[in-house]
Amino acid sequence: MAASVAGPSLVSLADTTAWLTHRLGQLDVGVHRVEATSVRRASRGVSRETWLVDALVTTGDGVAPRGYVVRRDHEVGSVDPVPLEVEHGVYRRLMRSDVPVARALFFEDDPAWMPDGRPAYVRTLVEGEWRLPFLASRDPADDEQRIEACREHLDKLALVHACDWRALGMDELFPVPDGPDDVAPNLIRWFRRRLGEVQFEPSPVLAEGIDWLRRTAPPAPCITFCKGTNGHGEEVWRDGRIVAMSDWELACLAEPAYDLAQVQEMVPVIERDGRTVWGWDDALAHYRRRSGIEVTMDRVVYYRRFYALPMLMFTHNAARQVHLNGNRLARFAWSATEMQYQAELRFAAIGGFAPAGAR
Amino acid sequence: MIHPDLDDVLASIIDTFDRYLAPDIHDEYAASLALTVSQLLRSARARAAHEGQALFDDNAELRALLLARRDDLPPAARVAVDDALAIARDPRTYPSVARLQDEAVRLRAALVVAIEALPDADHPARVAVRTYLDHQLRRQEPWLVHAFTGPRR
Repeated sequence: MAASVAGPSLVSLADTTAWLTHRLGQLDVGVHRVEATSVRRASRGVSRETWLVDALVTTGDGVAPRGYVVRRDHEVGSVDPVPLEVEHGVYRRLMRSDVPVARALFFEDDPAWMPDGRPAYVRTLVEGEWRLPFLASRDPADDEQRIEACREHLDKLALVHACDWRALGMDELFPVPDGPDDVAPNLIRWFRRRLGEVQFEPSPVLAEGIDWLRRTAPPAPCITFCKGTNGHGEEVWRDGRIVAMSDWELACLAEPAYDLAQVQEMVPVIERDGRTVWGWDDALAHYRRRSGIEVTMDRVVYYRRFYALPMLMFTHNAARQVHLNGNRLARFAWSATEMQYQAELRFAAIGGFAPAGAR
Repeated sequence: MIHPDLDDVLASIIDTFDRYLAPDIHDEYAASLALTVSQLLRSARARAAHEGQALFDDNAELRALLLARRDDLPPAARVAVDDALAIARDPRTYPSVARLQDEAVRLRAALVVAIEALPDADHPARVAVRTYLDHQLRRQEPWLVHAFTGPRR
């Protein structure tokens, strides 16, 4: 293919084949031919586009199917103001750790080869499921499976927090706190600065929320690399185990409570015959046994409220793009409206004022 | 022509979209976007019905709050509040939503200045601010909470 100024088209199998062939040396070891057989867009992505590429690769052992994931901003930008290069950088660094992640293969920023003229990075597709239907079950027969999934998730979070973040170079991507007491203040400064870069409307709720976050910031027991958004819908599961952790958009240097506050649906609260079978106390005790780090519920509650700050960062960014930049993708309008309101409710709850309807 | 009004028309669009168009969208990504569009249409319908009155009421409450609490503020913040309060709406001009939004932006910017000028979170003015914010959030519930009825994506 003679690459045009706009680069290859991702929806063209011929173009995608040509692109991957151009990058053959950065695909899996031993691959000497690649052919894209299907390209489809994943439906759930809100902040960025995720495309799934099925391919046939030829190695010394013959021809085999292989899957790749292409990540890039929407044509009109990203809901998340964190640069795509940072997301790619997290994957690259975690490949040298014990954390299960897809392998990031290359970042495409050559204008002649950027698909549809946009930077993108490619990672391997890890086979598995993101849905865990049993999580919604209230059948006692599913209790043990729900608890085991919780333990597995906490085990993997403990691996994330055990990373030697300096050795991995995470301090090249994220601001480093000046010690454990500075973990929350450092995050407030960092998110506040980036929110300030995109905010174009005054927000009294934000002003109240920031004040509360500063006044009540808890000291941390340690500084760890953190994942950010995690739990159901964010990780790839196979045979009851997490085989790849995904979505590192809110990764940072913080402390474990930051992550435990963002766990989605993975800590079941189970009561049977008036007895608590599993709940947050059990989850935190399990996490402590695995990591050696004490996480208290009050710090988890703090960081649940803190989460309003990154939410406001990306929802204000979406609002800016819709209102000022003419971005007409409905997902941005949704982020800018309902999601922004939900973020405001998190801060509103701090002062005890909480309208009904918070999700 | 007065009727069907905007609410009738939007209700027709939503119903037609949900019953006849969305079920025929078979591409996975497009079907997911259709869910987002359907929910946003509901929000837009409720917003069209309620936003004007909500902003009108909200601006009036915030204006009264700032007026009542201006003496609690240090001089620089008081100037900012006074500047915002000085821009009065011309009662002869139709209070369009756009005008009400402009007024809301000015008043809320002044409120941010006031909050940041009063570091004691228990100061009666700050308590009054939080009561106002409770009302502000409640006024938006029709289009930001109640309108959303199903999966968004």
